[in-house]
Amino acid sequence: MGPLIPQGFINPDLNLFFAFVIGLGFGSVLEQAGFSSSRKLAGLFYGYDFIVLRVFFTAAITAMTGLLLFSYLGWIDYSMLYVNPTYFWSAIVGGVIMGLGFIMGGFCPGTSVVGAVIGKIDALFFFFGMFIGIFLFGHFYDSFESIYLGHNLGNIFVFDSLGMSREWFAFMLILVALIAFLITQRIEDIVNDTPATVRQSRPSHFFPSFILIFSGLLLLLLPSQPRNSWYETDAKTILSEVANKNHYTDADEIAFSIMQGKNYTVLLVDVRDPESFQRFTLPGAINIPLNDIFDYNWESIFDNHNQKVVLFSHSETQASEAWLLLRRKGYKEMKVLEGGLNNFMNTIFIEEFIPERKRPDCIDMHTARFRTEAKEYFTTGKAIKKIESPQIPVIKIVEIEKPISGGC
Amino acid sequence: MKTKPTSYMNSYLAGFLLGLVLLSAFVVTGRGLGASGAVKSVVISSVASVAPEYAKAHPFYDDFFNEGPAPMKNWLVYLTLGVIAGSFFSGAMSGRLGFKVERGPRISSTTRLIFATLGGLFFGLGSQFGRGCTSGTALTGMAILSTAGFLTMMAIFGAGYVFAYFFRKLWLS
Amino acid sequence: MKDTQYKLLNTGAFLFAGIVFLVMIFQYFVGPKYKVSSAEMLEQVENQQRWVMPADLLSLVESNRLQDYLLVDLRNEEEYNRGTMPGAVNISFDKLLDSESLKQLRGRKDIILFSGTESQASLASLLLAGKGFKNVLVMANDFSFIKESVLEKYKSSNAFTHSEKAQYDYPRFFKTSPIEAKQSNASKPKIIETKMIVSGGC
Repeated sequence: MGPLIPQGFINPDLNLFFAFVIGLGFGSVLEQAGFSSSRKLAGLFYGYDFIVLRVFFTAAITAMTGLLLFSYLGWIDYSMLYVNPTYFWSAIVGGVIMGLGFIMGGFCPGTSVVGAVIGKIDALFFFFGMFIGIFLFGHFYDSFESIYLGHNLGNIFVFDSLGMSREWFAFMLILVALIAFLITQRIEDIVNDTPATVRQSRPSHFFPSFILIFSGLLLLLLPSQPRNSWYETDAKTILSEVANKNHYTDADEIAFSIMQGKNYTVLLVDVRDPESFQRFTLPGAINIPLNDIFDYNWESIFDNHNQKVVLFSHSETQASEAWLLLRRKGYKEMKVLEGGLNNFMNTIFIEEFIPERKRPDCIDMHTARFRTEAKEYFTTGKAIKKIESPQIPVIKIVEIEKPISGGC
Repeated sequence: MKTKPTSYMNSYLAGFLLGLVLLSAFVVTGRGLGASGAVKSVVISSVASVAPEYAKAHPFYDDFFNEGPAPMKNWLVYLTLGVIAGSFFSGAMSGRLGFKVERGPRISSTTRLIFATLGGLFFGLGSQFGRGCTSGTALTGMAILSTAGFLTMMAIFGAGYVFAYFFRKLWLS
Repeated sequence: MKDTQYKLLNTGAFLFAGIVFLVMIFQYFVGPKYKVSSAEMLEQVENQQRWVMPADLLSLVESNRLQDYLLVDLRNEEEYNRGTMPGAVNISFDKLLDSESLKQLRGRKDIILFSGTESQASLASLLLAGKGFKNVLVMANDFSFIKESVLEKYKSSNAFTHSEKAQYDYPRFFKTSPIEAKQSNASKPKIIETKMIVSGGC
């Protein structure tokens, strides 16, 4: 289901509007947390105020746990989320320079914006310092490029790097965060010499910690399968659709829709392998090989309620298998070309149309006339076979881009 | 009318709310938060429009000349506009608006401003290497469990602790 | 002040987690129950081992090992009574997931499905895989072909034949004018524009 905009649930034009709304929340939370104060921020490094660590870690584990839970529930597709790429040395060098900037300036970019807005002049200077820094980076980009673009490890996950399972890592991280909260609170008390009365009157955070640990345990213990099942189609529904042949569409209808040209609301999907597709396919068809059927690129095609998707293969076996897999995933507007290409050729070009009834009625006459027209139409070359040259990749009708420029 | 500024929010509550904001960013757009990206967009578009010759000679500004949406019509730019509005409202509500140079007790305002600028400079430079700052790479990266997020986070705070000794005069009494 | 915030944190965390857990429980009962994920089902589809090709069938018949398997005829009762494979039981496709049928199949690891169409048998095997059945085999080709070309008169040319094969040289039906063909080599046209045809009324 989610993320909503890349999946097409929300109009992408609203993207920037949502950016603003999320920014509103981001800004006010940072301000309320006290991130506009450089002395509070720098306190992390001298032990008198660990607010950064608390807010930062709490936010990270809340979002992480939320994402994992949402992904388990099928509310969000983890594979479609933007994972920032790891350029090993660039990340470390950048981190070290940022650490230096942090201790000198007492801000980070987000907090400096917040500080500057509410009138902290030092934050404003920090903010303009960033412009110079980025400009310098641009100026000396040539000399930095080898570090910047080197050691690209791709969009990797930390649990893979450590060889752990995702759920175990999440659980460990929750524990580490909670322990860090306890320890830093103690350090803060010692450094600030907090009076015992204040220490004792502090509310315990047992309940939220308990919920976090419980969520982590739940993620760990829940069976990994089946995930995301709630929007799937029940096996019995699929069975009855197949038994009643509701999943079929016939050759005449497809021939008709091809002859309608651009106006047809049917999208033909060839599920055979790319070689067969290149040798021959029906006019206007796109190629989605059966083994590639779950690729996220196609989701918007299958999910488009304005067009019916018709799957076909040589016969109907592969197309039906594709249909079942997609139908199970909850897509509705799906049909299979009955008998596949073999039957299509057979119906349109080879078989003589013989009405079942002795006295052909209006519908039979119509069918007979239509078949003759269709045969002529295709054999005289009005519908041109589509050839994909080998260099050209198979077209993707709608490409949903993953966000490329992620980060900050 | 001058009201006493209300105290800051419980940091765990703030963290929880920030986590929800981050989560909603992921649910709606599939990506996390960020701040330095907006500054980069501003730098790129202003430099490229003021000195196009210079910008053309430097590959860093390629994005500006490439096809695609204009750098300023960027997700992160709008996010930062939201941050500006949000923090202004929040500051106004809690009575925290007002010009001020916040500094450690042992340094003058001028020293503070010089170091703030230098800090911004290093942060800006570093954020380009790290492909994002604390919110964009470290926080978002940790939430999505990316290796880069953890590496950058550890590098930022590790370096912070190492350098903290040399800059203690700035902050401590 | 701090106290109300602490309560807010508790309530917020409680609401957030509570909603998620409630939905989790709700979805557990509402969602359809498949024993394997979609991705595993796709692996099943790609697994060529599940097909019983005519050659395999013949060797089973000749070595008398066919009776070791549970042959399931998925056609309806009428067709089944007209003639089926030796030893086959009848579970018509629309009753495949009924509890009685599943009981009949449960515990058998050597099921071979066949039907009037190859696709139906294949879909049946996938639906059974979704119910947790492993290693359900599917007979390639439709029953009439199996009967005529394998059981009655076996041709070695049919050894690996199955429905999912091109029966015709398709391009010969669709005429392409030479100019157009050259253009398409230049890789430009993606979707073909065709003329509207007036479909005559009756």
